[in-house]
Amino acid sequence: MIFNIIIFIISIALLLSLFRALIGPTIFDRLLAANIIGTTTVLFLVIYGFLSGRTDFLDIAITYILLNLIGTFAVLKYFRYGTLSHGEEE
Amino acid sequence: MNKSILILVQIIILFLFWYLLSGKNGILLLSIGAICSIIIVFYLLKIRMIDDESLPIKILPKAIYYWIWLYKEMILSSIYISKLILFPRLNISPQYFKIKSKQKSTMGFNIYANSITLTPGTISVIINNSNKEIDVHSISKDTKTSLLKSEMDNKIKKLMGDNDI
Amino acid sequence: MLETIQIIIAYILLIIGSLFLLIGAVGLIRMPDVFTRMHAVSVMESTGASLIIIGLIIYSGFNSVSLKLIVILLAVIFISSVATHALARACIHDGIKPLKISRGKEQ
Repeated sequence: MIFNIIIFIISIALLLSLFRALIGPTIFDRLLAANIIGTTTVLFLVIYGFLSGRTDFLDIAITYILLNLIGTFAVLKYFRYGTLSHGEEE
Repeated sequence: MNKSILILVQIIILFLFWYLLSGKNGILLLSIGAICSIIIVFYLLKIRMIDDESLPIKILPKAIYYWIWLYKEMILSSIYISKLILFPRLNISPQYFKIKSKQKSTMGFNIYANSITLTPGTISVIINNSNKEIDVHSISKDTKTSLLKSEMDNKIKKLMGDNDI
Repeated sequence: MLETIQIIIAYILLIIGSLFLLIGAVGLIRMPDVFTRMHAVSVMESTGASLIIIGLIIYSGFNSVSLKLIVILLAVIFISSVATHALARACIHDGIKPLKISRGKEQ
C-alpha cells in the first residue's frame, strides 16, 4: 500500500521534471532535467523492485546510475570542447 | 601507506563487490571472481591508479563522523530551501562570491568543494587549486553567511589532520 | 514489536523523502534561472533520494539487498555532487551570467 503511494509521488515528480525538460530555455536546463530524471528513475526502479517482490531490479538500478553519470559527462564534454575524442583547451 | 597493503585492500574490495553482485557460493564463480579482481588490479597498477589518493583508508574512520555531521547539515538546509520554494512569493536573492579555504592538502580542498556542492543552497562553480579559492553560487544571504562562518572548513581541517595527500 | 517499530520508521522516512522529491520538482518548475534550479535539484538528489534509500535499508534489515542499497546510496550521493559541479562550470564557461535579483527583506 505505502509503496503504491510512493510510486505515485515519484511519478508526479518525474512528470514535472519532464515538463522542465520540454520547456527549458537553455540547453543546460534540459540537461539538468535529464540528469534528475535519471536519478528519479533509479529510485523508481528500486521501489518497484520492493513493490513486486523481485529484488533483481537493484542490479538494473546500479547499472542505470553508472550509465546516467557517463551520459551527463559525455554531453557536458561535448559542449565544453566541441568533440568527444580528447580534451584540449581550444 | 605501504603499497602492498593498498593493493591487497583493492583486491579485497573488488572481490567483495563481485560476491555481492553474484550472490552464489559455488567454487567456480568465486575463483573466477578472484582471478578477475587480480587482473583488474594489475591493469590499475599499470596506469598508476593505486595510491593514497584513490584509497584513503587512513582518514576513513574519522570521515564517518564527518559524514554524519554533513548529513545533518544537508537535512537542515533542505528544510530551509523547501520553505523558500513553497513560500508563495519567491523570496530568493542569488549571490555569487569567492571564498578562500584554509586547507593545505589537495584532498582536503576537494572534500571541501564537494561538501559545498552537496549541501543544498550552495554550489561550488569554479575551483582553483593553486591559491585554494572557490567561486560559490548561493541562493540567499542566509546560506552565504552560514558558509562564511567556515565551520565546515574547520571540521575538514580537523578530519585531515597532518595527512598530506 | 521490534519489527513493527522498524517498519514504521521505514515508512516515515519513505514518506518524508518522497515529499522532498516532490518539493524539489516544484522548485524546478518555479525557479527563474538555471543556477537556482540547480539548488532545487540538489534538494531532490541529495536529501530526497538518500532518505528514500535509507528508509528501504531499514525496511529490509541486514542482508544482501541492503548491501546493494548502500552501494546505490553512495553512488547517488557522490555522483550527484560531481555532476552538479560539472554542469555549473559548463554554464559559466558558456557565458551564462547568474541572475541578480534582490527583493524581500534585503531591499
